[in-house]
Amino acid sequence: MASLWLKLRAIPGWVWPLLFAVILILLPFIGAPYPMIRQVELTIMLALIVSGLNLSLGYAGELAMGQVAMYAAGAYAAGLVSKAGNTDLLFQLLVGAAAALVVGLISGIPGLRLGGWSLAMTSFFLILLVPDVLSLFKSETGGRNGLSGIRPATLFGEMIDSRTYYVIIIVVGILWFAAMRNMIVSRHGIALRVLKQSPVLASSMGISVFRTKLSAYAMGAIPAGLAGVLFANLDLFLSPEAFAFSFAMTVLAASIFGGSASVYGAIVGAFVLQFGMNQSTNFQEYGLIITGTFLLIGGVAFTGGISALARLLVRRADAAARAKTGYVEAPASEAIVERREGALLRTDNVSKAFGGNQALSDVSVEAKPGAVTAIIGPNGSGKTTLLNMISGFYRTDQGTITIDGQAVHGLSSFRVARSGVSRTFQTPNVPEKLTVLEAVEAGRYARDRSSILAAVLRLPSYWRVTRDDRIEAERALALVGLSEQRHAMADSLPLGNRRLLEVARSLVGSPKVLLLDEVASGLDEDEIEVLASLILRLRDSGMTVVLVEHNFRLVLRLADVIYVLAQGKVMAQGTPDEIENNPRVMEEYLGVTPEDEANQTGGHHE
Amino acid sequence: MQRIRVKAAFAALAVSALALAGCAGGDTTSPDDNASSEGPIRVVVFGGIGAEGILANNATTSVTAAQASVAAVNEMGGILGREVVIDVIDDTADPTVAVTRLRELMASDERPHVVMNSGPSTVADAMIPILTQERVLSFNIGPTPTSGDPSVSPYNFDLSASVPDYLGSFTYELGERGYENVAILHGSSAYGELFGSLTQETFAEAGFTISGAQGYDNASLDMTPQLESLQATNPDVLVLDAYGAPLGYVLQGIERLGWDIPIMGNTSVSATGLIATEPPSGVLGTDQVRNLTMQVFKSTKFDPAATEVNEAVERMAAAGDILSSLILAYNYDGMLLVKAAAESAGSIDDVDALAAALLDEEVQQAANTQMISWYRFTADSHTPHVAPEDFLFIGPGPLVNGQYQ
Amino acid sequence: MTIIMSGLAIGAVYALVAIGYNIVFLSQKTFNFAQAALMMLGAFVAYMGIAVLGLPWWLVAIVAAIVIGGVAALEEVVAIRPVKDHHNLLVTTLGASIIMEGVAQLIWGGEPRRVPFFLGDGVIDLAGGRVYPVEIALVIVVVLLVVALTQYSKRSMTGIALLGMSEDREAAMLRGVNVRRFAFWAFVFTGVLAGLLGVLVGPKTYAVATLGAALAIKGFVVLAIGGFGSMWGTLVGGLIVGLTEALAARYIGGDFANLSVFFILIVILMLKPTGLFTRRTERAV
Repeated sequence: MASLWLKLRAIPGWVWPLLFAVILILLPFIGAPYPMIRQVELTIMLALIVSGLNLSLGYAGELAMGQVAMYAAGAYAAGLVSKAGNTDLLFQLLVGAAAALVVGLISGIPGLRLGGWSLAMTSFFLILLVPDVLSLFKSETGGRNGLSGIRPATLFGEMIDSRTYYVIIIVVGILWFAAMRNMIVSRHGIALRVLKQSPVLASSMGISVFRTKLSAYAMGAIPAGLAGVLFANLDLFLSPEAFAFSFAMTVLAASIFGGSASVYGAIVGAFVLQFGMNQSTNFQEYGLIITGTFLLIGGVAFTGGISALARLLVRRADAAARAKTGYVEAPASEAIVERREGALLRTDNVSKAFGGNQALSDVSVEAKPGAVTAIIGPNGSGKTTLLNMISGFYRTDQGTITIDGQAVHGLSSFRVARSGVSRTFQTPNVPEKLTVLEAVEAGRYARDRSSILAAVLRLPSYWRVTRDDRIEAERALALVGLSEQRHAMADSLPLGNRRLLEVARSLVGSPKVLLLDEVASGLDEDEIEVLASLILRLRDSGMTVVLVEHNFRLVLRLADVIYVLAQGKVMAQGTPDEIENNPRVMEEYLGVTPEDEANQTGGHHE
Repeated sequence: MQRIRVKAAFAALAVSALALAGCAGGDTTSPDDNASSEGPIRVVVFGGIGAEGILANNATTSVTAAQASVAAVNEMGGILGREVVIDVIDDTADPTVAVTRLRELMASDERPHVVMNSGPSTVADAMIPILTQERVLSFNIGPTPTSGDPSVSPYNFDLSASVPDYLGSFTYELGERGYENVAILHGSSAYGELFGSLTQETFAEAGFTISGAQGYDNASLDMTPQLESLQATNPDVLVLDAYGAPLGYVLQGIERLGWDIPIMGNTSVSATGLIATEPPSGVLGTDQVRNLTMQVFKSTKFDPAATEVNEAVERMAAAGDILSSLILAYNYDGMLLVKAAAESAGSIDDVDALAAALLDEEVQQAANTQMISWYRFTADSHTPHVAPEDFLFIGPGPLVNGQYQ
Repeated sequence: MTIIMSGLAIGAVYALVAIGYNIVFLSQKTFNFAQAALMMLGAFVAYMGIAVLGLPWWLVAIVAAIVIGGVAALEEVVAIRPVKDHHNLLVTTLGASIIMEGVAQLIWGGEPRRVPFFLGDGVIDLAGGRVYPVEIALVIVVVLLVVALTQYSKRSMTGIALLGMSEDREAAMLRGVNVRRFAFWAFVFTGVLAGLLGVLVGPKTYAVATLGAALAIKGFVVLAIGGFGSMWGTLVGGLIVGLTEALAARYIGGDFANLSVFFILIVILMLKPTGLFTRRTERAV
């Protein structure tokens, strides 16, 4: 039983949906009744639109309901092209997708700048405007009376009969979901998931938040446009009511029921909604109540959607089967640190105020390649603020920050990251729903570039980059000693391992400057040893390491240079010896005498 | 590389699927000419009973009328001696749902002889091409530009008077009352838009001056702005399309502006319960409706002398609720027309013969229809041709069983 | 002048919906799609009490407050409490609002019902314009409500708790605020408000089952313009949306009312992405 399960699981995951699609294609040939065929057709169209929403809601994390407007754009584009005399379906699909893409970009660029609820509400309102816009162009679109007179579609000059049309719909569905799946399992998909979880983390890894969101949103326009074209040619009649707010809510409900953060969840959700809603018309005057109850119960029952539930069950079955059959993980890579290049990081007279609160004033720090530069100081002394300034999360009020002489202040954080600065966070920032290996691979996003198109079409550049990502991530995991957990879910790791995971992630992109923010807190003795020796090896390999740390013993042991911050100013700097023997530092600012310090090891959590 | 092979297989699959479909193509569902010639005669009525708001009321009235129509025909001994049975299908007034349910129906064992719908016209627009293709006789109360055109929809007959007929009655009445400058206010429903554009055209052609025309969003809560801009054009009369709550907002707006102007409402106005209900729940008898007259069919105004109409109303009241005015009860005439046509053609199963029979003036008269007394379908137009005399412009009154008292 | 006044009155109704959204947003960081549907039910209860049963308006207001408060409590328990994901809440509260609409339609049908206003339904002249008394009352009540809510949240423990919850749930919990209970009562309060104000909203909009759908989105637009979480923002947002709609419909044309509102919304959000009255906080790491 268990081994059969593992054998089934060894079959690539995409085989199952493909098998499902083949069965769907065969339906009319094995005598499925027409009503069922039509339901399936409508379901696939709904699934296409939902899948577009999933890209923005589930992966980019923005509730942008513009898909319905893009669907309308695709449908009306096809309808108008058809009325103008071009009935070729392939041409219409192209035009429809392009029209939807244009609407996607136009609504996406201002919309994504807003973000959050403002975006959601604006996009809801956008849908209400669809009929208004259509009636402004009444003579072309038929306004609120609808567009009739669309001519039956042709393919390569041949009329399409209803059975062929059904097959075409399914094939379009297959092609889209294959493209979407290829994109989601690629590094771009991982980047999106990181972005959804934490835009801060994403930009610290060199991912441009705006561009990535926009490309997800725009890409989501394509299936909506395709669905619109298919819809226009199905009933050969379009009315603005088909693109109403209630339809948008159906799309949203399908996305949530199926699971927004999943590829095939869109199909599951669309099936549930299409077949469920169709039933509600059997209840006549109770129809509204039934529909409402259906949405309510579904929303309560499915957190993360049906797909999340399925994923959980599969993972449990995997674990159980592995335990039974004594499955062995592949051995860890060798933990070698190769020669790395560092860079000189300098801040000169950097100041920053938040409101009236002067967080940093005239801070000048220099971190050299091949050295560990530690920054210490009491809470609120500005250590983390300084790191955030270096990473580009805050703008400097005055002063300069340079890396090898190149100014980086004023650059957005993802650009700073791309110029070779990598960091960890005080509170480990670990994305949900990624495995340890994937979470580490994500750290290489800015390192090698490979386009979304390459991922969708699986071009050679995609395979090369993916292979490198894998090798480097394995090596980074070996360095921090997490190889055994590589397939565990990243967010299920204990705190200490999460910190190590962050270190691995920040190393994997071969940065020149590594910023470690309180990386030792929460680690046990053994883990601290692994970390300490790793930091020393990184230093020896030539990297620039900046260490913000509470654990004074550790700092004394690792640092080549120590800066002491107090109230936003550098109050002392020097070698560990000098700092340790500076009584003012020890008593006034760290509040300890060297003798008690030993008791404090690893005790801080803030 | 394994992945590349997979990709190729993928493409091959897509292509072969297309080819497969191509081979199998060519035999679309060819309808076996009609439903069974044994057993009861099947009638199906579509209506948005589960729709939102006032649409549901209209659909209910329309469905009730269809049911009463069947009851009336069965009372007369059925059609050609066969009993008539009726099924109701809820389309939620949504074209996509209507098409789905219609396709299901056509694929089932129980293909109907006659299909009636309850509007709105967007549903009709989606359904009628399928009914034509399936060669099923249909009656439609949501006219579209092509629904009454026999060259496009040979088996469909519109039961509701055509917009030009309604407007003919309006121009006649405008002339009778001696108005010159006409202002038009209409809603954003499909019908409202059509009414808005056609009134402008027709009135202008008839020699009236259109002082202004305005539309409002059916979801908006206040029409004062539109009214004020119409008021500024200083018309003699306001021609109004409004339906449900928007009618209330329009009347509020007119009162607020203190605008003393005659209002001529279309049948949408007379189909709204608000103006037929006394305070406190309605506005009947208040200053808001002092200047209001509205268009109705003769049958919608209660007349103790019109015994046959009154019988029809009783039948409807027995069959179900009449939630709106009789304006939406055209379906009552549907089966009367079918009975006359079938008896003239000698068969219910030959849809061409039925359609031809319905064009026969004698058949139309023999049908003894009640909502509109004579439909006057012609070979060029499957739309009723209702003379201005068949309409009345009346002030609001209490509505009992769909009739103004 | 008449146009401006009628725009203000409509804006006041939108603002009422937005205030309801806001209270829930402050306490739960989510939106209750059914807020406008609660107001619709409030209008129907007012209709039943005043027009059908002929009860005094104050008694009707109290009964409506209790009834709709109860409906809101039920909604909280059924559609909010068991849901863990914020996006799911949009679907469950939408479901709740559709149920309310369905129930209203089943009980009262689709026709609009008039609700008489207790201070009279005659038009009065005011400052060169003509208004209904209920419209003046609506505007005054909305302003008073915003003032009262702002004062209340400044002074009272409950208000502080509300703000505390929205800004930092954990911190609020540490300070001993029972987040769950406050969120529940804040939610019920929006229902009480919807019921209480039914005697004002009903006379303006009629009691009609589709009212919720018409108001829901406009309420959100008001909120987006004013800024999520800002009470004064709802007032200014309502003012802007109401006036824009009225003036656009009067001087450009009915088809442009919504388009103009959208245009203003986009312009305001481009200039100030968080809305007029909400400050943007610098990103914290």
